[in-house]
Order: sequence, then C-alpha cells, then structure tokens
Amino acid sequence: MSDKMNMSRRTALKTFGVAAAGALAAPSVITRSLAAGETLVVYNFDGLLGKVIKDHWIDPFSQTTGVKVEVLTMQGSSPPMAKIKAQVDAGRPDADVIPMQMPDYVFGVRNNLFQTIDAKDMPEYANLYPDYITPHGPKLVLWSYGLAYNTDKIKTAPTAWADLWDPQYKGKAALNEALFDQALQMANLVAKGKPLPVDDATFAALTKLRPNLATLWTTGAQAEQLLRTGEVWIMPVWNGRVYPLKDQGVPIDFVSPKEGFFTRADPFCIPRGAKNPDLAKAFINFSCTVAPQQALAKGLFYASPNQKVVYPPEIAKRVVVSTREELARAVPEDFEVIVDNLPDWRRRWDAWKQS
Amino acid sequence: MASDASLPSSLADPRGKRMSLKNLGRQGFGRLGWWGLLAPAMALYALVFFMPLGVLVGESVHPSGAPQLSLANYAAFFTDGVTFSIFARTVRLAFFVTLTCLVFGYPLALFMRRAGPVLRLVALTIVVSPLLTSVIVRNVAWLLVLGREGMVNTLLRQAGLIDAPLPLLYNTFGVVVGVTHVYLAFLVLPVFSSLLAIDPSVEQAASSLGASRFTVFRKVTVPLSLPGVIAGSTLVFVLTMGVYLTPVIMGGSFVTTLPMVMTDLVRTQFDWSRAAAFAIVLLAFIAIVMVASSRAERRIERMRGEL
Amino acid sequence: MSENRIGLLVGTIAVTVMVFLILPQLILLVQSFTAEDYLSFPPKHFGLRWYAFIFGDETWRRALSTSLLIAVLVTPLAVIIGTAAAIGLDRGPMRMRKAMRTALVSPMVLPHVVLGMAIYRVFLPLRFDDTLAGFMVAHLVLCVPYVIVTVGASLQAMDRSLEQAAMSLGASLPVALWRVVLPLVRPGVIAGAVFAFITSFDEFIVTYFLASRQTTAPIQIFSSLSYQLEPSIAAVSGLTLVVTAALCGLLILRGSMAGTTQMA
Repeated sequence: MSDKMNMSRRTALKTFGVAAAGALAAPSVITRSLAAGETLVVYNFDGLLGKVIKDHWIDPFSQTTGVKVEVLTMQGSSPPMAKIKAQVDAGRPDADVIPMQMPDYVFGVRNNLFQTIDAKDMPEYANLYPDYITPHGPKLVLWSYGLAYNTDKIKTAPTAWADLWDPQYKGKAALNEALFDQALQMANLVAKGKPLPVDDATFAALTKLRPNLATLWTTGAQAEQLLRTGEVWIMPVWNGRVYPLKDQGVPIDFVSPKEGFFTRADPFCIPRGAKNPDLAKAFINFSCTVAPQQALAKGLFYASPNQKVVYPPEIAKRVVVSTREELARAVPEDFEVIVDNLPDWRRRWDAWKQS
Repeated sequence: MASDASLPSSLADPRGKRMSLKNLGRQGFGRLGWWGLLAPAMALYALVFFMPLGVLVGESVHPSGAPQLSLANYAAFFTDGVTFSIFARTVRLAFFVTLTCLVFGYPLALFMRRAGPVLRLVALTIVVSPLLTSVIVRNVAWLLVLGREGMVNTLLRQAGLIDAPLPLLYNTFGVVVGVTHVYLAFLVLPVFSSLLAIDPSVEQAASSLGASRFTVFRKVTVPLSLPGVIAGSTLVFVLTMGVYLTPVIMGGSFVTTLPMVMTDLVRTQFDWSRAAAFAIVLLAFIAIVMVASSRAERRIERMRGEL
Repeated sequence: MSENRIGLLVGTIAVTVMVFLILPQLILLVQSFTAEDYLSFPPKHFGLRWYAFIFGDETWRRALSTSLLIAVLVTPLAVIIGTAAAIGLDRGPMRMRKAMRTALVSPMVLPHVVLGMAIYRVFLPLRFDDTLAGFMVAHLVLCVPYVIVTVGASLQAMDRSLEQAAMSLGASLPVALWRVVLPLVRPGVIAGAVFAFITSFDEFIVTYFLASRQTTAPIQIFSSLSYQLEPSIAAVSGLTLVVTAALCGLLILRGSMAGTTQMA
C-alpha cells in the first residue's frame, strides 16, 4: 500500500518533471545530451534587473536542463559593442546570449554580428506578440520611460513632459545624457507634438529648458542619488528605477506623460560564432515563457511580450504597457532612423551643451 | 660630462669583471650594457605601447573600415563644427587646472621646504593621499561636499552668508576642484624637489647683500625653482587633457572634454576609426606641449649656465 | 614685518590646501563606518557593517584579491624593469638619452582611454585579453614610467664619485652597481614602488577594456556607479587607503626619511 503510494508519487513527480521539461520545449531536450559538460555563457544586466534575471531566468533554466550557465555582467547594463564586434570579427565571441539595447541591435545587424533565429526552434514564439519578435531574437525587457518626481517637493503630480519646463523647477530638473536621443524626441513632443525630425526647433526648446536643468546624468545610480538627496525634483527616467525606490520609502513617484511615453525593449541575441547556439536558443525560449516573464513584472515592473502573462492589478499600473491599448499610447520610435542620425544628433547635442 | 661612462650589466659583460672605468667609456660593450639595461623596458613597450599605437594610427586612416587611405577623420576634427571647440575647451580647462595647481601648490611646496622633517612627512602624505583612492569614490565624496545640500552650502547657509545654495557642482568649477584635488601632487612634488635643490647659501648671500626677503624670493628662489614649476605644470596640463570620469561625475556632463567625445564615439557610435584619429590629434598636441616645455627647461638651464 | 606677513600668507595657504586635499578622504573614511543603507554625510549610525559586507561578499572578495595579486606581482617587476632602464638612460650616450627618455615616460601622459582602446585591439587576436597576465603586462607599461622618473631623479642627485671610488678600488661593475649605486638610489626605488603599486591597484580604464570575466576592485567600484552607490565602495576605499598608507609608511621608514624628499 505505502509502497504503491510512494510509487505513484514518484510517478507523479516524474510526470511533473517531464511536463516542466516540456515547457522548455524540444530544443533543450534534444540538446541536453549534447550539453553534458557544456557551459552556456550569458551576458546579464547588473543591479536589481540582473538579480531578477539570474534568480528567475538563469537559475531555473540551469536546474531544469542541467546546463551549467556562466554569467558575465555588463557594466551599466549595456553590451560592450566595440568589444563584441572585435570578438565576432576574430571568430570567438565570449558569450552565447547577449541582451541588446535597440540602437546596439541595429548596429549589430548592420555589422552582421548575430545569428538568425528560426521560429521553428522557438516554440514559445507562438505566445509572443509578433511585433516583439526580431529575426535575431525576441525583445524581452519592456521598460517604460516617463517622469519621476519628488512627492515631498511637488504636491500636484506632473502630467506632461511640458511640466519639465515649468519655471518653478528652476535648477531642479535633470536629463539623461546617455539617452540623449530620447531627450531630443521628448523636446520635440513638447515643442511640435511629434518626436521627429530633430532640427533647430528641438534645440530651441532645449535651450528654454536649460535654466531648469541642474545637471545631466549618465547612469541609473546617479539618477537615484539625485532623486534620493532631493538635489533634483523632476526628471525623465525609466519605471524600473523608480518603483523599487518608492517601495523603500523614498518620496518619489512615476507618471506616464500625456504626450506619450517611451517604451523600449531589449532583443536577446546570439552572436555569430557562438559556441553553443542550440543551448542559447533553448535558454532564450525558456526566458520567453510565462514564469520568468511574470517574475520580471513582479520584481521590477517591466512588461512582457508574452500574451499569456497576466498582471495583478497593482502591478498592471506600474508596468505601464500592460495592455495593447496602453501600448498604443507609446511614442513610436524608428531605430533605423535613430541610428542613422545618431552621429549628427550627437554633434548638435554637444554643441548645444557648450552654448 | 666626465661621469657619462656607460655601465654594463653583468650579463652583458663577456670579458671578465675587472675592467677599469677608463676603459669602459671607449669599449663598444659599454654601449651593449646600456642597451641590455634598457632592453626589458623596450621589449615591454614594443608589445604594449608602440604596437597598439601603430594599430590605432592604421585604423584612423581607414574611415569605417574602408580599404583606401583617407584623412577624412582628421578633417572631421577641425571641420565638424563641434569637436574642435570641445578640444579648445579641454585646453582651457587644462589651463585653469594648471593655474589653480600653481597658485595653491607653490605656496604648499614652499611651506614644505621650510617645515621640519615630521611636518614635511605629514604634508607629503596628505599631498599623495588623493592618489590612494579610486577616482569614482573620490568624486562621490566631493558630491557630498559641494552638492546643493552638501557640506559647504549647509555651513554657509547656517552661517547666514548665503540665502540660496551656491552652484558648486555640475559646472566648470566643480570639474576644476575635482581635477585639481588629485593632480596637485604632480605639481607640488617636482616644485618641492627643485626648491630642495636650491643651496640655502645662495639665498643667504643675497640677503646679506641687503636684498629684502621678498626680493630674494622673487630674484633667487623663484627663478631657481623654475625647472620644477615647468615640469610640474606640464605634467598637470597634459594629464588634465586626458580626464574623462571627473567631468562626467562632477561636471554633470555639461563640461565636455575630448576624451568624453572619444569614448562616446567608441561606445555609442561604434566609430573606432574616428575615435582613433581624434586620439592621434590629442597625442600630437600633447607631444607639442612636451617638446615646448623641455625647450623652455633647457633654455633656463642654459641661462643659468651663463650666470 | 612684511616678511612675516609673507610667511603667514604662505602658511595659511598651505594649511588650507592641505585641508582641501585631505577632506574627501576623511569623509570617505567616516562614511565607510556608516551602518546605513546609503551614502550620506554625516551618517546617523555607525558600525562595521560594510566592511563585513565586502569581506563576506564573493564578488567583492574576488575583485579585491585579484587587484591585490596583480599589484603585488606587478610592483617588483616594474621596479626591476624601471630601475634598469633608469640606470641605462642615465649612462647612455647623450644624444639618444633625451629621445629614449621621452619614449619611456610617455605612457604617463597618454590618455588611458586611448591606451585601453589600442591595447585591446592588439591583445584580442593574441587571446591575451581578459587574462591576469594580460592585465599585468598592461599595468606594467603604466607603472614603469613612474619608477623611471623617481629612480632617475635619485640618480641625478647621486654623487657619482662614490661609485667611481668603489671601482677604482677594484670592485667589479655589477658589484659597484649592487653595493653602491642601488643603496644610493634606494629612496627613488621605494618611491617608484609605491607609485607602481598604487597605479596598478587603482587602474580602471585600461583594465576595463581588457576584462570580461575577470573583475578588479576598480571595475567593481565602477559597476556600483552604474547601478547603486552603496557604502560598500567607501569601505573598499577606506581599506585601500589604510593598506596603501601602511605600505608607503613601511617602505618609507625602511628607506629612511631621505626617501620622501625624492618622490618627484
């Protein structure tokens, strides 16, 4: 009797295990035998985002498949493109999976740095919104860019990008130098109601903003320090930087401006010449599934391209792009155009800073 | 110079160990020994310094990997409308920093010369101490001192000296403070060294001839310390031309330096070739500054020789 | 009377400048003992929490020990190569000397961003990037110039007649070098060693270009700038400050006070 129960429990566990493995889809099962002794190398973000991805994407993948995963941290959460290009050109990329930011991705495609990923190797693609699937991997971390403000100092919540220009915030605002292209589009939204083109009017609008700007920042830690110390009261920043601080008791909040917010997502790509492309595909496919995606939404409020992901109401508001209708409010961005114009915009931005 | 004989290392000495000094200067092997001593350094530099720079030069004349030679990247430095002006501002920043280091460093070196051995050691430790902390952490500490809610502003406000906080950060002032803080050592040490080398009897002679202390300082001390001043100022100036992190953190990116432009070219525009060209222009400028400085030093030595 | 006033002025400026120079390091030391979660000054609670953290945290421990290992290996190598080169420069034919010296000292003034870019391009095909040996070689080229400068300064100040006397009494050249020249330039060698150690231990930009799997303490500090400015970086800096200061003190004491006067 008891033996039988044990047996059935074991069988049940086994079935469950098979089901779990099934969720990882065919490639991982097939490559499992190949994978013996192999190590998958994955570039990961740093900070909290990196931690969530390690705990909920990488570790479960490693446990269920038995694949050893080595994690390389990207300083500043952006891939070292110059290095990656040099490595791919030399035929030996050090990682199998690299999360890209969109402009980096466009650069990478133009320089033929990535392998194409066939949809038939990626069963989970069936559940993703098609616009988040690129030929070189799915776009996974959907962060949103809106306004953060200090709730102690600013009593009526800002509603629009235009509020940055409010004279009462003289010396209390800041912009992100590292995403200056977004700052240019934001200024355009305020000045002429559309994000492009970048022209003299864009910089005229920025010049009007200049008295309000205490500083420009380049990294998330700087932004946090500025908000935390009250040095800056209002600034454009991404949602995943704001809510964890708010939950720690820092008096800040996040609004998605009425002119439209920005949302970007990071394609997970496999470099050409990667040692373990099959394992890489299995990992990326696993990352697209509901459990890892839900964990990211819960931990850091980044939305998912997976249609099956259901957000609890309190998280739905924070992920900003919880529904297709919300997504329609986002400012459309053409990254081909952005990358083409980046050098020129950079020069004009640098010149503007000098003036 | 009589003491210019070459000194061979034992390894390079094939002919026994007891040679008179007189022979050495004339023998070819003295030169061999001289090369022997320099060889490890030269080998190291060939691999890690000259070869990389060569690669850089090669890359700079092939814009976006094109096979044919082109100077377009160099032309861009002067004609793209912004790089040259950033370069000029970097020069201006380096000039400010050098001047600040001189104004504050020279008196400190004077003070150290007169101080007793213990005080001197304390002062030296303090001068070198900024070099012992990482640039980022040092800058973060400055944020806490100079920020709007930082120490200086709080003190001034409590003392009733100001109503609104002073803008001490995220501007040229902040960058000058941050850079001066660490590079002051590179000015103080050479100046201090050249002050120490002054024979006190020369100054005593001047004052015994009736010169006031200020005149002695102006006519004897300052001219004799000039080699140290020139060496130190050059070093500070040239080092400041290469600053990157301090303007980013303490200048709030409003103060743009040439190394920031180069880093951005590599990181976000992926334009190695143009970054390399800008680097070469910067190096050429630094080389010119160094040559001019060593000329000036030599001229001073010659003048002293005539005295 | 006006003379006293000059002295007073010089003294006042000197003391002010010293306060200015030491202030951030003092703030850091105080901050490293904070018991709070964030950098703030002055801290409201004190404790050894962040020191415990950097010793307990695997990443920090690895980064610190890598940095220490590299600096400890690089320093003696830099001292040997640099001292040999400085003596070679000092005795070489006049014509070559100037050019050689400029070449050998130039890594000091080359912006590290440029050098990092360039070295990476050469090391990558050699598979020399991201290896401790690669870091060490790159650090060597940054450290050797300091040794050349400090030892060179000592050599210039050295009285050559002692060495000549030793040799005229029949000492062989290597013996004269070892027994007479080296002890006389010891202050320069020690100052060079201190600078080499600091330069290697704190080197960030060039290592950053070369590293992908390996981390060093400065890289770890930089990563906290991109993510979160924790008091851990103050603790690491406090530790570095104390260790290097102790090391310098030890070397300087051993090298006698004269060593300190030759630092430039």
